[in-house]
Amino acid sequence: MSRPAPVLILFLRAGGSYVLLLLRVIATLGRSRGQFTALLAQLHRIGARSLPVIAVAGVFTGMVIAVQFFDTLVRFGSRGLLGTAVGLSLIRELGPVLTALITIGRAGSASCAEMAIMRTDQQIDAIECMAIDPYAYLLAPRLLAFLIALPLLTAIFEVFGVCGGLAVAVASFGESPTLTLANMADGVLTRDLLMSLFKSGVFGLLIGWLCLGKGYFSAGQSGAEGVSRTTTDAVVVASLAVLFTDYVLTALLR
Amino acid sequence: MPHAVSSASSPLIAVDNMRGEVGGRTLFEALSFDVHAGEIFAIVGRSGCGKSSLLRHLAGLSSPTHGRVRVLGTDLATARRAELVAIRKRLGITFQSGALLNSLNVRENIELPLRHHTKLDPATVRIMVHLKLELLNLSGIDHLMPAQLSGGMLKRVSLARAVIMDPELILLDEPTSGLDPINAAELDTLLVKLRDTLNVTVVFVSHAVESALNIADRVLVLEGGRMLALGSPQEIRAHPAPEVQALLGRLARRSRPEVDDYVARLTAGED
Repeated sequence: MSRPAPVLILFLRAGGSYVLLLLRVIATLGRSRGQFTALLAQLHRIGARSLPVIAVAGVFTGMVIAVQFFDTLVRFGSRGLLGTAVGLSLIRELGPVLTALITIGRAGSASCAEMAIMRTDQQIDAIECMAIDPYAYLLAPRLLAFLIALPLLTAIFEVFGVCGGLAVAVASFGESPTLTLANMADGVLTRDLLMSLFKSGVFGLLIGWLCLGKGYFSAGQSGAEGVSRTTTDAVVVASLAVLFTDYVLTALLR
Repeated sequence: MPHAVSSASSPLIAVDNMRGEVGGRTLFEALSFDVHAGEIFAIVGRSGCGKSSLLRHLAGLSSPTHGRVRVLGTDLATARRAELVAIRKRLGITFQSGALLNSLNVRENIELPLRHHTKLDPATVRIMVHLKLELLNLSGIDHLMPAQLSGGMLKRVSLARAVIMDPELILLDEPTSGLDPINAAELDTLLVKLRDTLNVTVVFVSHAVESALNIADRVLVLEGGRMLALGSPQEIRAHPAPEVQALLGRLARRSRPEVDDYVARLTAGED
């Protein structure tokens, strides 16, 4: 019987480490002093500081969708559906995915780099040697902050997106603001909103888990180049994971 | 000056035929030694001889692949997590880089273990931090961030954090590396002062052999991951092994004709 390929063993080992990391973080929730204060600080860092970029991205995304849909809908004589089309696109798909991708670029990469630098600089070793559990002290507040912040950021992205779409519909295409909003309200169901928030929660967990894990397990990737490589890997892996999970969730929950 | 050390009691650290590896590469092997309460114990050797890795094993950050290491009466390799946590509350450690948390200022760094492991009120914590800062000649810098500290300050703040819980044992990785001779000598004096005032056992690794011989009660010399010599500073100074004498800087540089030729050509070119 031939031995399993080393790459498979490495993959299984890495996968096992990530699963254990998640389980250990869950096990430490609420069991470390100052975890709530740390959570608030991380929510500020991951959530509040992302607000401007999320708002701007939301506005422009809504505007682009309105322009794109208007031409197509006019061609089919359905310009009255513009509000519904903009609302559904933003809330079902673009809101959760674009918010997740922006958060990976802004907060996911920063958290990964922070962990990698702490690992390289032996700060994580120092925390362990002080008999402080790094899973509880470092990882749990950050992971929880991603989980909480993503749905909130997504909701804000969607609100700004709707505003952007509405502004273009009214200012550029002469649509009635009341009618467009009413169409949106009719077309978008509560189920769509809940699905959007559920998706973004899953994305938040994925982003936190993968980006923090990549940085935390970065032993041996020392120096600026190592931290840079680790961060790039984390962004790529987390982005692909979000897109793949988006497909799976959409297919399963449609 | 050698300190009165009690070797009758059980040792704080007992290393028995230990081998350490990383990625299949042997870092050190066949190491056996004890460290007793109240000792200043130095581990010296050239760069890359396995000193820092040995210290990581003593702190329970790495496990030996062979042999045993008992710290404060507990075998670290087989200790359960709760036992390891209990041991770590009784020891302090400093790393070569200082390893202060960049997001916290000096006071927050030093009080971190106290905040996690005690229920002391903030005023008491503040007083304890202040006392440790004074002991280490660091008064007035508690609001600074690690990035604002000099190398010498960084090492001393790291030392203050290591002793804030009044540990029985402190482990120091290259405490004087990167420091100028005056700062290095000050830190050496501080280590002796800490041992005498806090009654703490000090184990440190260093490549600064002369400095180690000045303050240590016993010295372990490592060469290529093996124990070359172990004894008092006087015994190490008188050790016959050429590697030990080379480490002390007493042997002339081995003749290397190609280097000598190169230097001669350079010198001639300058003329």
